[in-house]
Amino acid sequence: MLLWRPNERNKYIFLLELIIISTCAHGILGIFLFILYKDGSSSLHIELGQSRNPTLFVPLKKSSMTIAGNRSGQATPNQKDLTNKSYKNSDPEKNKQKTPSHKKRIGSGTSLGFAPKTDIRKASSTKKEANATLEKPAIKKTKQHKNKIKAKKQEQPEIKKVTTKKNEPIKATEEEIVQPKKSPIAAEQPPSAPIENTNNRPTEPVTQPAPLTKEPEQKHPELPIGTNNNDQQSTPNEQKLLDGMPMDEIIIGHENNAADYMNAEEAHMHECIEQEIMARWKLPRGLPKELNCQIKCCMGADGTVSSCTLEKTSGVLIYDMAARSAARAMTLPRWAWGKEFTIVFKQ
Amino acid sequence: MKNKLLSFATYVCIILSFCTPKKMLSNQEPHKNEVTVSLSETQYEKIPLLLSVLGSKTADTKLFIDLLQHDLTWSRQFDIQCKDFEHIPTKQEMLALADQGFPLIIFVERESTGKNFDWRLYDTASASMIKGKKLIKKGLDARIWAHELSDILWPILTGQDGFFSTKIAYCKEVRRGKKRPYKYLYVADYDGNNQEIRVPTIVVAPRWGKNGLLFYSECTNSNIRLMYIDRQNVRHMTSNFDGLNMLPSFSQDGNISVYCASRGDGSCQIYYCAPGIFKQLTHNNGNNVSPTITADGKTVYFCSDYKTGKPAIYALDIPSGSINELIHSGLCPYYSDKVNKIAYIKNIKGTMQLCVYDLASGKSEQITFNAGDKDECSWSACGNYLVYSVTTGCNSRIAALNIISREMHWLTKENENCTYPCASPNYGSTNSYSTTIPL
Repeated sequence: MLLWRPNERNKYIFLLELIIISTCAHGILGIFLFILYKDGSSSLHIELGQSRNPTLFVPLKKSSMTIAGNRSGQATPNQKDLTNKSYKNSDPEKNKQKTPSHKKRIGSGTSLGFAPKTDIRKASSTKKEANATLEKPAIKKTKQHKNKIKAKKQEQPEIKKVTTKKNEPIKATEEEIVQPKKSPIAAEQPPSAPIENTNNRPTEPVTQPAPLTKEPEQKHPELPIGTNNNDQQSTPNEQKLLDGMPMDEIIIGHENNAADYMNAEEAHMHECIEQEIMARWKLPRGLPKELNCQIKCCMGADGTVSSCTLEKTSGVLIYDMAARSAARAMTLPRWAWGKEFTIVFKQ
Repeated sequence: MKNKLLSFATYVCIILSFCTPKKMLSNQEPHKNEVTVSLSETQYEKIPLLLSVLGSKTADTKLFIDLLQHDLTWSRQFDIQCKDFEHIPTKQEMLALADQGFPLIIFVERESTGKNFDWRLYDTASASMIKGKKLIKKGLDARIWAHELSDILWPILTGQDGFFSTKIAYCKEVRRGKKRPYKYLYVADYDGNNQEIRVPTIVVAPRWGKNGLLFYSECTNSNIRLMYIDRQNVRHMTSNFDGLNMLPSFSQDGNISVYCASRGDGSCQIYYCAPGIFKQLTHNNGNNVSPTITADGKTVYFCSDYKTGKPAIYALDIPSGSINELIHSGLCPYYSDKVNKIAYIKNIKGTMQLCVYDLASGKSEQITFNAGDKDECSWSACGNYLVYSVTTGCNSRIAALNIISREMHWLTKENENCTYPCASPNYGSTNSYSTTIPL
């Protein structure tokens, strides 16, 4: 090694150092994973296949739902209006490119990938041909709505310019939002683009909306993953609150939902165990009522108790025996298999 | 080199930042899988217990086992079954017995010399011995051996003091032909069995003293004098004042006693006796009866009608001499230092019922609700039973009531007229009694 050229030597030394550092780092990680956090018996295991456990539904908070609804990528006439305002000055070609990817990112509840643009356009065009007549009432409504907005804006002061990020929907104010009915065609159409006739077939003439005045693009907080984008119902009061709420508060609400779910699941587990014990625990008469004992049960792979140890005695042998007999006779469903429970027996 | 160290340090920090919150959260929630089960509707069931004789079974061993089975079954907390083994079962056999529903086994083995019994208490689920000792035979009576072993096993099994070696003294009416009936003093086991006459004279109100001394009041032509009988059945005089001399009560060490006497004045007063001290505690025109003294000898609870003309229960502080009303309406108080409660009789809706007053909380609780007038209650040595008489019509029977489970046992037969029951202390326990006799 000393006879090697300096460059080669340095190269190999560098590689050696890299290997040492990586092994040390992985060793530390392994210590944390396999030694410090070895007790994984209390963690929930993943089940593949059909689960026999009841699914617990914890309703999400309305605030997150309304945000998701308003931020839905599924194009609606209202969202068309909003996006028209935001992209009014941008090139229509750019908007065509932006909106499909924007839709796919937020609009679809389960799909995380992006559909190719050609497929989107084909689907939208076929649907346009099939339901061309359905567009007319929606277009009329948008025209009417736009006219109303124009009239109001003439009275109101100008909105300040706010820069927006790419592919972000506009934060709508209370006055501008109108909740229309869902239409599948409108969901697939680009929100800001005008109606296009991609096919060569002749269609009825459609009057395009009047060009909107310039409006500043506004920043909007990103939606948390997993929110439902199909809910578009929000009351004006809630929308006011949403507009004023900073992003951190909304995200915290989402975290509380997870905690509530965990608490509900734990409560269900406790209830199951309590019911099992209550059906089997029988005491002799004449014992004081202030007795209590703790028994640690390890569940086996078949739902029965594999081992039972008395952790804290009540001081009365027959009380402990009765509690242990009840714990040994316990059978629990699959979610309890392989877990350990400490049961406190009280009168 | 510095850059490498920095990169390594940042890598470690990133890993730690992922791992430590989880660890902190797990420390904050240490009892995530702890379930507390509280019985809302208690289901009662006797505990199955297996009683086994190892080796050969002689006649006295069989009698001993039968009596032991009777003792442990009497409280209705155990379901005792007998099964003999040649030797102590193996671990697998123990586990099989546990699966059959026997959590505990008691093995009894007679020594080859015949002087002792070896007993062992086993936990079948773990196939381990909980406790085992040698029991030395005392006397020739198998009942004594059985009661002694029951007294040893009872605290291990239930956590409560044993009461099997205690006695109950009471007065039983005996008819001799067409003559008037006489009340004789009888003593029986805790369950009313093995009755034996102790004093064949007109006797009322027996009370147990220390070291097995039995005090009673004997009716004479001139007075009712206080007497006691020792274990050798020799009778001695204690107090022979004019009028009534009755109902003595003793402190735990036996050096202090109180009793009631009228001394020919027409009203009954409470008197205090200690080594070198004899003094009158109450000075009123009422009738002060049924004194019961605390274990330390500083407080006396008694029944008196001096204030309102109706019987009430008062507490007298001996050092200061102050008297305070404790229970507005009550008779026959009896204090238990084991549970710090006073049992008494009270007229409730025309029937004398048994009540208990808790000195710690200051609350009274009615214990009996059935028909029949209750009278002369006394606490058992363990503090779990109340012994009292129940009078229905012209006949009176003695009963024992478990204060926790409220289960009653008749101690005397229906055709016998028995009154004035008094449960003895457990002379086989660690309570010490002075050998000196007051008065």
